Amino acid sequence: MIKKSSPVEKAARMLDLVPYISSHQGIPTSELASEFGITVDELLDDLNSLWMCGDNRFDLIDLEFESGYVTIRNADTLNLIRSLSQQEVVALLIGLDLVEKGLSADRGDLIKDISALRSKLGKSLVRLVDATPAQDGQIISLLRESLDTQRNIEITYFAPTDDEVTQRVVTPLQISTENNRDFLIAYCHAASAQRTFRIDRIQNAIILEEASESISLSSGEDLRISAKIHISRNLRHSRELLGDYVTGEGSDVTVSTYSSGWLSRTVISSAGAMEVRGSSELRSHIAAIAERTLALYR
Amino acid sequence: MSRKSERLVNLTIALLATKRWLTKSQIFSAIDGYEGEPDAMERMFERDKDDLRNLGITIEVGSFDPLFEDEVGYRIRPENYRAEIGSITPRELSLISLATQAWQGAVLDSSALSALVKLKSIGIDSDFDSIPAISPTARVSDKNFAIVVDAIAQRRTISFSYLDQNLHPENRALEPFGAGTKNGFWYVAGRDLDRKGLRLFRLDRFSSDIKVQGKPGSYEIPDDFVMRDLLISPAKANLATIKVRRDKAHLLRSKASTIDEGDEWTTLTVPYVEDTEILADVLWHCNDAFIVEPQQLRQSAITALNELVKCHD
Repeated sequence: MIKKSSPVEKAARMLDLVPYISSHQGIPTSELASEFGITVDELLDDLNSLWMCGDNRFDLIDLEFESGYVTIRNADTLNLIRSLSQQEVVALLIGLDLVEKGLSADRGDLIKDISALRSKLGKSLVRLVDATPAQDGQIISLLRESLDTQRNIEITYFAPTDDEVTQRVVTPLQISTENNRDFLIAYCHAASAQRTFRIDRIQNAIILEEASESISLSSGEDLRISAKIHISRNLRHSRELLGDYVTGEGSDVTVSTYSSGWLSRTVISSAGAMEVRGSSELRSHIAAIAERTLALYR
Repeated sequence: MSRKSERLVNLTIALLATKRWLTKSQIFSAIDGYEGEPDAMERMFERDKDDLRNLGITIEVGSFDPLFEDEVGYRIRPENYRAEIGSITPRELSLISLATQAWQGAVLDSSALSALVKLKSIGIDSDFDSIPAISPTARVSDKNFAIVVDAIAQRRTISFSYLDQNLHPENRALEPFGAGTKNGFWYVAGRDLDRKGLRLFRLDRFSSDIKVQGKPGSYEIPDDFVMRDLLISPAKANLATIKVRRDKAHLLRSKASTIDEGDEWTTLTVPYVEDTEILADVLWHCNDAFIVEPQQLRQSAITALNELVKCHD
């Protein structure tokens, strides 16, 4: 939004302002700016430019906006809603897919609406896009609501590293996004500490009646451990598994993580593609687990 | 700067309002901003036409008398300019609003917003009370995605560098057919021009910006192409029998088709596609899970564990 619009983007917006104002005569400038995702200053600049346009230099568009409310007259030629670009249609179709798959099964009425909208928007593009959400849209809504209303929330959380599904009461502090994934940072009352939860692993959430006490976000101690890992095969796959915790190019990398449990499980599930080269503690830990697991096959 | 946008708007108005073809000289005299040497004005006009076309506005070119090499004229037909959406209900508009919210902070944010503004210009109110509270999210900040969408829309070939299984960048050329997302990953599918077949690519494995090449409309998307078919999980034709400890191995339990609880060990039947995938899932649970059948999968687990012991001892 900070980015300044190009003249072409500005022209497109001016064209779209005309039918919008025509059907919303008297709209406050602040509301109009926010509908178009621009600042009031940018909007005033657009309106000042639009005011200089018209069928010819003696028959200009009649705009009134000094009062803080915008009205338009004498803009019949441009009072047409511009056809949607293919990129706009694709954005809507993907959004609608994500909405549809976030609906509960009993909302067949809305699913019908969405399929009607798809044909209105662009039949030919529908088969070319497909989107399935990575996380439950209703849970995000609940988390946002509990943040807004400052109430505690009870979550059911699956932690693969601990191989546990737990229920805990948390006070949400912040929703953050990292590498295209959403996380909830919250104060966990069971652990009496701040914890970070991957939102796609929250299986259920219930907002509690009790108001949350005010707890502030702490930066947290850095308790990371670091390990040297050699990758002998499946380089791309292995590095993707290690994700954001990896530094170093190629097949010899350093992994720093908060969880040694996660790291040893990841190395073992790589079925031999990854080898821990250091620390020696972690090496013998992995050898011991592998040995114990092997015993199950004897 | 603002003169250019005013000129584009005035040009649009003039071409929309006219019932006859407008010649260049008529355009130059009627619209402010076309100034300077004739050559400079020509170039300005050519650029303006391209800019309007890039906005999706169709400018027709024609002449007054097709029998003569007359000077060509230009016009925009309102029926080509105008959106043909028909009617939209308040509830449908709320669903569209929700769909555009998914793009907040993501790469098609401004397209989603401008689409919403256009639909709101119809002048109906939303009815948010009729839809449940959900927050759809399209988490994609990769600008390659916007390029892919445009290339698909225009049927233009793209080329890019893609990391293979060993992380070596390979040059690929693709006629993109479709795009989508699943499990938080974003994909483009199309005909790979070197490998001569339909291929699926993950956007986070691109190691370069996409280059768009070739003319628009340089290929056709086959009638039977459906993006959903490519992203759908393949049928899990294989079955493994796996024993897991009581109250352990939640991940495997959630994938199991049958669960037979025992005293210490529970027996699961788990459908799967790839050996490597199920093997990784079982090994993840260390000594809380082991494979009973099929034999060759059980043997792979034993081999992997022996290798792990050997190289970490």
